[in-house]
Amino acid sequence: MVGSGANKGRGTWESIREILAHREMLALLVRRDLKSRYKDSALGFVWTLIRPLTQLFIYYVVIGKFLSAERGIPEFAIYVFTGLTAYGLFSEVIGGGTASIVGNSGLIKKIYLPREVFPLASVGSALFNFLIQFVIILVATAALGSFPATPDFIYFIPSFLVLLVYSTAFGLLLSAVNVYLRDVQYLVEVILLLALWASPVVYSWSMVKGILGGGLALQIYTNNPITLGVLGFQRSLWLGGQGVAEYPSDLMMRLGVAFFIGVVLLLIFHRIFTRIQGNFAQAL
Amino acid sequence: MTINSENPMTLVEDEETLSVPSTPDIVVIDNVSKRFVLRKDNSLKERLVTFGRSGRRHREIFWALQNVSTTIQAGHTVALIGHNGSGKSTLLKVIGGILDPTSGQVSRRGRIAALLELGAGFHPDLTGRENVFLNASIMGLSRQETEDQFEDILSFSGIGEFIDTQVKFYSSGMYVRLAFAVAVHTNPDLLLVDEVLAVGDEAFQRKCLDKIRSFPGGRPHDHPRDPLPRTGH
Ligand SMILES: Nc1ncnc2c1ncn2[C@@H]1O[C@H](COP(=O)(O)OP(=O)(O)OP(=O)(O)O)[C@@H](O)[C@H]1O
Ligand SMILES: [Mg+2]
Repeated sequence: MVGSGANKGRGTWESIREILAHREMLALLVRRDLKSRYKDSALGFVWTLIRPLTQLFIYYVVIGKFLSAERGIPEFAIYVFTGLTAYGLFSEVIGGGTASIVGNSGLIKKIYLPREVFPLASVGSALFNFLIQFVIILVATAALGSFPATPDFIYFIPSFLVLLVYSTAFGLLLSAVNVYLRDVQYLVEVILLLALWASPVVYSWSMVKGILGGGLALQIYTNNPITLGVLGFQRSLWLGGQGVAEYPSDLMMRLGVAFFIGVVLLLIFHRIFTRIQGNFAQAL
Repeated sequence: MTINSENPMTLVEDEETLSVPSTPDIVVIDNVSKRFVLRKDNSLKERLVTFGRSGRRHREIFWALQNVSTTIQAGHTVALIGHNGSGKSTLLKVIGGILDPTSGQVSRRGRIAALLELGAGFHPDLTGRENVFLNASIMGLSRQETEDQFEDILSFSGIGEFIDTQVKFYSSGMYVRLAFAVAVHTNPDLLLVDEVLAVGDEAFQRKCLDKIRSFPGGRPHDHPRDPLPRTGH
């Protein structure tokens, strides 16, 4: 017999087993997310492309050309799009995750499911959009003759994992907090917007270094998951910068440390999630 | 069974299933209580303003269930009867694991399908067909199992060609028909039904009750009045 009692926080393994048992449903939830998002729109999935491409266009023309940020950054378009893709993954997982429990209140109030599946489904649909953008990068770099087939491509893996782990951890936590405090959803939007400008997506890390100097401020700027992830993406995918662009020393080690801290955070946030999820159905 | 004192609720078994020889318990409810805290402040600002001691004044405590203990056996049909607000839906949600009890313990075994209130967890923007697959997988069926049963589900629901229409264009009755059809075809050991049958027309209600009788699980369900002839009274 399976039981549920007062204030029962499930163990981490138990949760993982339960989620794995629901993986087929998780896949359906991801498909539903993607399908329902562009349902009744004539262009459908094309919209997933239009948004990042528009962003790229704006940053390329306005910031690159008008404000001439592209001086000193070769292949500026690829540079920007690489950073945007990294940032996009992060922000979409967090944004989608935060809204996921409240958005699925219809289901949560009517049937028992491991509640983690809802933030995880947002991760899934964000990954799908990420994959599309990633393919665009590969196609574009191939077309421009700077396909990233170099040893530095190895940086892609840890930076991807860092972005994924942190965004999932925060998505999970914020989805639960958002049930009790709906302000969180709006707060997150604002913070994500700030995060875009606080990471070297449309300007370069060496510009920041020039202004902040080599001290503590630069360390704080550099050693956060978004900046590290963005830098890792640029290092692996943006050939224009090889040998020219400056990266923080020991980028690989920083990514590794960040990853392990991220995993610990994920476990802690998941524990918090399981503790408060018992009251979701009545608070929604 | 004792529920909160002002609002008693009783548990009644269908006479037909009473004669069924005793079968294993599928639900054991042990001294369950459920407390709701009603907060009057739901935004960050109000929360901060009323933080701490004075925050207590913005809370109201309400016991929807107090020290409920009972067991439900496989193969039996059970009805919960009580006034509006006596905690029937709350008890069903606790049984279904949707709400955790404040104190006490609920143990259950087997597959549970729940039809609680209208809606049944369909996504309005998806078609009936897509929702059938989603809903069935939520209730624990694999894609293959759902495909095998799809024709049965469709014919039981009587939805016909509307199956490929988005469910937001369904009438309430059609909605419930489809939800009910999916729920009974997942072959649950325990089917929790709350009010949903009230919107089906009479013919469909009869069909559902026959279906409920025909399968070998226990099915407690709940209705505030007595909309269903013969079930559980
Ligand atoms: N999420 C909630 N938050 C706060 N109070 C709640 C919540 N859900 C139910 N209650 C309270 O618990 C009590 C029992 O509600 P419940 O829905 O179980 O009644 P019911 O017996 O199903 O009534 P009805 O016959 O109208 O369906 C009610 O007084 C209700 O106000
Ligand atoms: Mg009710």
